[in-house]
Amino acid sequence: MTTTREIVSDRRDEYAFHDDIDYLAQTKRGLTRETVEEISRFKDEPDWMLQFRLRAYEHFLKRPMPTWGGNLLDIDLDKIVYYRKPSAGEEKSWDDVPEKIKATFEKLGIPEAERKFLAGVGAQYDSEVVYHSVREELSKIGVVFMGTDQALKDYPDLFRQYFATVVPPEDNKFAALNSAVWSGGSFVYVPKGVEVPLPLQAYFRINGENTGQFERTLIIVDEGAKVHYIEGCTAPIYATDSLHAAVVEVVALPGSKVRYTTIQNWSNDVYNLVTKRAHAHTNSTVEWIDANTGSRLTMKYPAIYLRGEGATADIISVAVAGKGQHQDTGAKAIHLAKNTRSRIVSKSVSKDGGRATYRGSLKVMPGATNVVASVRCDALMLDDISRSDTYPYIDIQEDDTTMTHEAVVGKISADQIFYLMSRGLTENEAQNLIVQGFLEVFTKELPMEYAIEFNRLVKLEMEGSLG
Amino acid sequence: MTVGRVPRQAPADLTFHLAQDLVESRAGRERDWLAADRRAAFERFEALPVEGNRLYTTYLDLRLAELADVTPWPAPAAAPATSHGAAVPDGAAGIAAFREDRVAALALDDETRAAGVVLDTLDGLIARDEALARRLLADADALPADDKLAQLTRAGWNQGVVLHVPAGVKLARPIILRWEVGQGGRALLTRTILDLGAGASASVLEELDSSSNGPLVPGAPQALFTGTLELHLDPESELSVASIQNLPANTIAFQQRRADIGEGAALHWALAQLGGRLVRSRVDNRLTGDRSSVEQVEIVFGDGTQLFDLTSFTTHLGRNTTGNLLSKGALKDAARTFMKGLITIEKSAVGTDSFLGEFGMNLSKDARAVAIPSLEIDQPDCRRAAHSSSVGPIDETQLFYLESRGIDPDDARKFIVLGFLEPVVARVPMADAQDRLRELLEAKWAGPLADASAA
Amino acid sequence: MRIDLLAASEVGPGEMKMAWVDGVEPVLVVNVGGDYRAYQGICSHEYFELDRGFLTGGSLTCALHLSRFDLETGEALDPPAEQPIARYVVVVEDGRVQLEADGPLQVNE
Repeated sequence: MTTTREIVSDRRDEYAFHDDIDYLAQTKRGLTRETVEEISRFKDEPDWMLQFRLRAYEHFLKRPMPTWGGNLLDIDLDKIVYYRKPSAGEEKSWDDVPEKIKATFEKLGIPEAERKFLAGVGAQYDSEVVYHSVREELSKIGVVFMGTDQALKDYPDLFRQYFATVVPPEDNKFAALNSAVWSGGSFVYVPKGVEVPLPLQAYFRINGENTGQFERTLIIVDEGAKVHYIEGCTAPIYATDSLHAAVVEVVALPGSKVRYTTIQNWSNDVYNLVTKRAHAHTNSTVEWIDANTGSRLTMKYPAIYLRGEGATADIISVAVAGKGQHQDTGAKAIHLAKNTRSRIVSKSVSKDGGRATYRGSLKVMPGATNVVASVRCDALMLDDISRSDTYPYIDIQEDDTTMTHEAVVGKISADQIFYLMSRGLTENEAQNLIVQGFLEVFTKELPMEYAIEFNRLVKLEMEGSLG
Repeated sequence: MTVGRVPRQAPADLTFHLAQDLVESRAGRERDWLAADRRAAFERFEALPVEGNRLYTTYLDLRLAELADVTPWPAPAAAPATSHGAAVPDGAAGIAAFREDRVAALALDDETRAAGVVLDTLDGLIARDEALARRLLADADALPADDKLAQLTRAGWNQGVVLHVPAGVKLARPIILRWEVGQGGRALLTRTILDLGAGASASVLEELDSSSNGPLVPGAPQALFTGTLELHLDPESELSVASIQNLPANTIAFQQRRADIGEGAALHWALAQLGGRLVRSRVDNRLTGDRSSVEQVEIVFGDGTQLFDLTSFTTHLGRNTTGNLLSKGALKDAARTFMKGLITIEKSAVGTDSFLGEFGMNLSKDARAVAIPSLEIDQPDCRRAAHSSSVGPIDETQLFYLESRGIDPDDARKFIVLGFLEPVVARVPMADAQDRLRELLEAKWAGPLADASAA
Repeated sequence: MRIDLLAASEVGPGEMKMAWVDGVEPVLVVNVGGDYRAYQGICSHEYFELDRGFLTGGSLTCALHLSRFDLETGEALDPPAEQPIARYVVVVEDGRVQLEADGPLQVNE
């Protein structure tokens, strides 16, 4: 993003990909059994994956559309193209990118080459170069970081051992859809005891669509290892397709520590329906740091199953819902073992008729003794045409659990605004400062350059200039 | 070969059968408007699912209710000639008492009667003041139209009581409403309506008890009690309602409480849920008038395998309304409670002050507390919109404090639990009722009730 | 009729393991404090292998939607499951856990 890189002269040949995957250009619109078979065939997948996809497809057909949450009535599943070749080689023109997207890049201070990459146009070689140098560093310490498609080929046993163990296709309709047609996404494996020194960023990884609509990410962190993975970026993702149904699975083996940060700012016509879940084993720590600022509708409830004793879960989620947007987000902490801890903090801001909904679940199952859990979900509404809903589910089945839950909904106090304005800020600036303060619990968890960009993004949203 | 059980009733199955014949037999003997009301309710009853709200469908479990063989009482016996004055207990202004479907007492003291206060059975009211009866019984909003169990009562009720306090009348002493139920194999479907005129004030003590004098025989067949509290508060009126529910262990209870609170009016609820096998209660507080307010304190003390399924809807509609709801549940053995509370602040409700607290105390490994304190806000210009909930064991610090004062650990636990539940006790309007409630809580703490092993 | 499932040593106290009868029919073996028990291997709510779930107190929780079943009676304690899971009769002989079945195994769904 704003990390500086040397502009390297054309050394593409030294980093030529060994691409033994022959991609079909794209499947026909709509989803049939044949579509699924085609996808698997052209990715040259082993038979078990084809069977997996077909079983998921059958389940997808059986499952009705959810009637809770956001309004999914306008999604036409028959019009979507479920698979298309990654953008390498696609000739998109910079001229085709919408004006306001270009303007946002400008405001966010994103260098030109990156802009083109993010918009899916132009040469990607700059990014390829970065990717390769990062990859070298990582392979020296045994870390695997590649596209999910490639990982299926290169690490078949490891892949099969963990794939779909955290989010099975039968979990919900969109997990079933993703399981049937998934393509792209990241695969990360961190060996025992290894602490990955830099955050792994999704856009470093190239070999397939980065912002694919059905991406599938699988992160396995072995015993005692530590990694921070960052997904997304603050620039609006200009998506050609309106449905993004991703699945992210994280396996935190004993003693490991995983932080997964997402900053997603989909353009305003996208339906962002994601199933993200982690299994936290003995004494491990999993952190979901999640920001949702774009899309027409986001339904996403990062979850952590605390399976091993002493595991810790931390979920910090923010949602900003502007005009025409509905952020239906939340968090789930399921305590299945003793001495586990969870903390959920959710902050939402709604304005200009936007709607923010918090849906959370905290469960302490029998046998999970000595659990300490806390939930804080606050909502800020900036005007009276916006809406905020909070639906926390708390289900405690042990007699020694300590849990607390607080929620406050309100508007910015007129006094605070007045005070700041009397110090010389405009009303907009004052509002922005207060909102930033409200969201600080989240922003302070971000690496510096992301925090700066995120604050800038919030500022733009507040000014209404992202429309 | 297999030890697996034959599939039994599903959690959402209502085993009680309300026959159309029964509804017709009642309707046939009534005024047209009432008959029409019953029939419409019956249609809704048949069409609705037990839990219509998607937020709560997972937390519904009627499996403890085995009501297939439970039949409603036939038409109620006529009320005895009311003997006022002497029949009213000390400290009260009036009493309406029922034993199963029969009227055991119905009296007002002279002063109260002279002030124009009406305390009568529903049948009695229909006979004496049909217009008032029609307004109260057939009011479209009297009971939630989207609730199957509310429509069950609306269609099939055969006993009921109404209290009407005219404008400006302020009752100094409480009115007692007592229902004694629990006869195995029987369902008593009732409605209770409290109507306060502008500027009136009253307090009501509802007592739900067993109709049998001795302890319950283990394995006794179940009984069903459905009761409502339909409250109409005209502007500037004030009403306190305390309810002590100590139904026998074979009884299933479906309760509907609904309040329409007018401008400047104030409603105070103090609800104690102790008895019954499965209690499903729904409270709807509608703060329609500007400056209206509701304060609700509810305690649950469960043991054995009791289930308390409690839902509370507070809707803020007027300006500058206030809602303060507190729900506290202490659970022993394998008791369970679902505390579902939803605060809705409509767009018109500027200046709302709303708070919902749900607190559970699990006293044993098999107890289970579920809390879902929710908010739906369409109007951010509020003084306060917050909720808070916590579930945990007895507070170790409090325990330590008491023990370090030389108090025996068991007693210390008892004090803490009874202290936790005290807020409702303190709000019971009559001294001897307060004492009785404290005794019930102490007895429940001490150990299983003699009749707890029914069904 | 006896059907051999697996070795008792494969399932320690507080553990569970799936055995496949004729390679196709899943049977879940659970060791509850030394007492070996067997149940249908698939959740009664949605097709999902119960060995991927969690042992929670005296109950079994399915990983798919967190339905929970009583390990004594098989009864469904937490939704979305409504039907119980069938419990089968087992004996442990010569260190092998074996099913006693005289017909097709009941499976609730």
